[in-house]
Amino acid sequence: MKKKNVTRKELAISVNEKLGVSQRNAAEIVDTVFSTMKDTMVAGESIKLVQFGTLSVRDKAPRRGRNPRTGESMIITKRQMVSFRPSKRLRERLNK
Amino acid sequence: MNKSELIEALAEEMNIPIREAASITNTIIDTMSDALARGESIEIRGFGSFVVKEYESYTGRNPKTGEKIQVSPKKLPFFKVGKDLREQVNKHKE
Repeated sequence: MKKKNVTRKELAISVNEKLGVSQRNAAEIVDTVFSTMKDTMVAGESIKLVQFGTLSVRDKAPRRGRNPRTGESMIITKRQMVSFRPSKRLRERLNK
Repeated sequence: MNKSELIEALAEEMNIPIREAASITNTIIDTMSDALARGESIEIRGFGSFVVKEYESYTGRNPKTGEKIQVSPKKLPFFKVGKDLREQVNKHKE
């Protein structure tokens, strides 16, 4: 059996059903929540949601890599990545 | 940015009262936590996805004492950043 997958649509339905916000508004609000978080991380700032977890933007050091096609050695420049650390509460809920 | 700052930004952007923005933000976070607790995945296009990985029980060692311990099976949530967010966050492109 394939596991369910929650998307923006399901989140909007949940906001609509639990809070009575119209479906159209709920969809727009859900989009805004994620675009706000996205803009924050693009600006290099982390997001800490106490009961859920922390999304942080980390620097990855430059390293020596290889072009897989030519085998040529090259320097992979410094880059940023996003990492997620689940809160203690979320980890505990998953293992109940 | 913490949750109250996210709520304030949402209230301002959508022109809704703080209280409404707070209950919506909480509902979204709760819905996401509930889904993960049921072992479901979350996929937000352009943002990223959360997947629950299940680990079998294994014999590990206490790194400090070297003592053998039995680690019980566990589930952990993982986040994979979406292509769009990854590319935008990565300012040092070649």
